Order: sequence, then C-alpha cells, then structure tokens
Amino acid sequence: MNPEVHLQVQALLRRVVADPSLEVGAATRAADVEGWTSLAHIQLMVGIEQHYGIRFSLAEVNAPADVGELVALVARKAGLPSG
Amino acid sequence: MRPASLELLVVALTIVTVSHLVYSVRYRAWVLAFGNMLTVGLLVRGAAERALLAGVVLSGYAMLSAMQRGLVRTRALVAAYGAVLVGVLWVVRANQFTDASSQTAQHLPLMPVVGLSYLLFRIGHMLIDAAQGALAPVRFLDYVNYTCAFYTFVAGPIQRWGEYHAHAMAETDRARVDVRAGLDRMVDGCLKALVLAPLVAPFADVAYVLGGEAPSSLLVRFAIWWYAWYVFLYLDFSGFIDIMAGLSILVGKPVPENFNRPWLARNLVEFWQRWHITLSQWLRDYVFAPVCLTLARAGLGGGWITLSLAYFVTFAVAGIWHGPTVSFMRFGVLHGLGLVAVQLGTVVLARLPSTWRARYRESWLVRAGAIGLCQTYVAFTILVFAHRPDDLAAVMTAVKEVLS
Repeated sequence: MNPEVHLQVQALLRRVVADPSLEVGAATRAADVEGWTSLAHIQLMVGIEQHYGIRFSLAEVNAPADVGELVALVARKAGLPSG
Repeated sequence: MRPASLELLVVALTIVTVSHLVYSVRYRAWVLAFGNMLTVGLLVRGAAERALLAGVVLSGYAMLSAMQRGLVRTRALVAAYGAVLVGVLWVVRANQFTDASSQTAQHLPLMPVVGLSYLLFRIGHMLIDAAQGALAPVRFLDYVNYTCAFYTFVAGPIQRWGEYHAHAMAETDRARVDVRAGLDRMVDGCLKALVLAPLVAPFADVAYVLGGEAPSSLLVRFAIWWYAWYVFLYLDFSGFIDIMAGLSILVGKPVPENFNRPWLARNLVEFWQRWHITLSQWLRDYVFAPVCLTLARAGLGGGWITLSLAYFVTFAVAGIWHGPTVSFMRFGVLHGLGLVAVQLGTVVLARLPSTWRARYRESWLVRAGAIGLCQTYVAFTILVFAHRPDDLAAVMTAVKEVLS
C-alpha cells in the first residue's frame, strides 16, 4: 500500500467523518468507521479527485471494498507506485 | 389478477413447486421463464399494456447487446434511449398534476402499467453499467428471468443484476434451498400485510380523528392518527415484500432486504438507509453520486451546497418515478429539506469539541430524542402525501379548537 496515498486518504477521511484522531489500515471498511456513510464516501471520493487531479468512473466510486483497495485504485489512477 | 392477491400467491407457489420438480438447472431456467411470463400475463391484461412491456424488455436487451458488441459506442445514444424510457414512464403514469390523495383512499395508487417503473430500474442500471464497461455479456434467458422475475416484478426489491446472476451461477442443488426460511418469511409477510395492516388502516382515516364525540379524546386520536398512515404503509409494503422475499428464497434466488427497522432511524439519512433500501441505494449510486461528482467537478466542491442540490435532484427523480403528482412533489420537497437539515447538523457537529461529539453519540437520551423527532417528521411527510390539504386543515382546526 502506497504510504503517502494512505496518509492522504486517511486525512481526507478524518475530515469527512469529523474525527481528527481516526486511524485506518488496509483492511478497514466503511462499516468499521463511525460516520463513513455512502454520502461520506462520495465526499471522500470527490476530495481525492480534487487532491490528485484524477477522475473516477461511477463504477470505480463504488468499487473499493476497503481502504487498501481504495489506496491501490488512487495510486493506479494517479500514476503512483502501488507500494 | 391484482398484484396483492391470493391468485398471485397460488400462481407463484405453483411456479416454485414445478421448478423444484425439475432437476436440470438449465431446464429450471426455462420453467422460471415460462412462470414469469405467465405471471406477467396474468397481472397485465390489456393488449396495449402487454405490448408496451414487451417493447421495453426487448428494446432494453437489444440496446444492451448492441452496446456489449460494440455496435453502440456513443453514450449520447444510450442517454437518448434512456430518455425515451423515462418519457414512456411519464406518459403512462400521469400527464397532468393531480392530487394522489383524491384517488383510492387507503392504498398508494397502482401503476397504470403494472411493473413498468421497477422494470426501468432493472434495465436502467444494466445499461449504465454496460456503458461503463462494468457488465459482462448477458444471455437473453437470464435477462428475461431477471427483468421479469415474478417475485420482484410488481414492487421490487430492486435487485442488481450482479447479485441475481451470482445466485443463478451458484444454483446447482435444489436441496440447498431453505424451504423453512422461505415459508417463515411468507408467513411473516402475510401477517403484516393481510392481518395487521387492515387493523391499522381505519386509524389513518381523517374520519377517525374528526369523528369522535368527546373533544377531550381528540388529542389522543390525533396522536394516533399522526403515526397511523406511516405504520400502515410499513406493514402493507414490507409485508408484501416479505411474501415476495420468501418466494425468492424458495426459488433459490434470494432478494436483498428492503426494510431494516426504519423506526430506529435517528435522522432522515439513516431513515433512507432503512426504508425501501434497494430504491434509495439505486438512487444513491445512479443519481445522487453522479450529480455530486458532476457538481463537485464543476467547482462547487463536495460540501453541503453540492449535497443539498444533489438531494433535491434525487428526490425530483424519485418523485417522477412514483408519479408526477403534487402529493409526491410535496413529499419530495419535505424530505429534501429534511436531508439538507441533517447535513447542516453534521457540519455543526463537526465543529464541536471531540468530547462533546462522543457524548452526543453515546447518550441514550439524545438517541431517543433523535429517533422521536425523525419518526414524527417522517409520519408528517406521509400525512402530507396521503391526505388532501383541506382534510389536513380540518384536522388542524379541530386540534386548535380543543387546545384553545
């Protein structure tokens, strides 16, 4: 998992769910995080798009099952190393 | 044959029984296809209605196949086809603004063409997924069994193709079907829809509030009436869904859940995660998310303004799908406003100290209060939808007189 992307995703997620102390790992799912609703997820994906200058398809928005898959997707689309 | 009828139940159980007598998975698919066509044919009697449904189903598959074979590449063409389908729905639903509460009193108005609106959701998401390259080739027999499944045709749930196909692919042994679970679910549904809902129905009528002789009891009747339509709607709708879900278990293709204890919702966002779940998920994935993404990309960002606009667009679409009537418009506006209020509340909550937020989340008193407020508001929105403004005004006048 790309550590820089992981930290950025975590920072964005902290903002979206309003929890500055939130720590997420590769296996963390939306159901594990208080406030990570489908709505919050869309806000997260929009934030990621704006930060990295990338664009998700509709299928990609809903595809990641956990933080690890999300980080891998972001790294791939942003042309960054996967790990 | 009416959608909610003993005849439908008998036909459905016959289909289930016959399908279990067939050993071959492949022939069972054909049996289900025949059963599905038979059910649709019994539900939809008019020649014009049948032709319309057949046209929608067949043209949907033609478009899907063309897209997957690369014959249709431009999204504009797919969008145009989608617009035609929406236009068809608009025309057959209603072409003028009417008040839904002036129609048959106790139930939601039946669609002029049974099954059409749910059919469009099933076909619609397949087309959208295919346009994004996220749909594998679909066999015609599987497509027909999915779009016209007798247990989801009338009122959902709106099962996604991927989930349906996964069950179909996993189907190897009839013995794996949990007959007891299916029958239990059907019994639960019959209890809710056929026993409890009719018991609650009279309390939802304006005549119940205004008809009593003792003014002192009017406030009690008012309180009961306030929630009665909500309770009736839940029992009637979820009961029917339970019966259909039970049938889907019996044919080995369980459908997703559509209700998850909506009475526990603390706010409207949570309510729509617990009520008519498959509809709200479909709208979230294919309307709300694209609108949010589009607005955010256009420079509005991902904040509450974008979310608010997306909510209103989503509920406008939901309103059109239910039927372009004033009642649905009122319902949609009230829920849109309520959802915006929840978002603003979230923004305020985020600015509080973390200890306050933790206390807020853990407090049972706050939770109880939030549930009470949310349920009361939802009941209010259903009242506004279900009753004529004159009737609501008469009730409020009577209550004011008692209070004064």
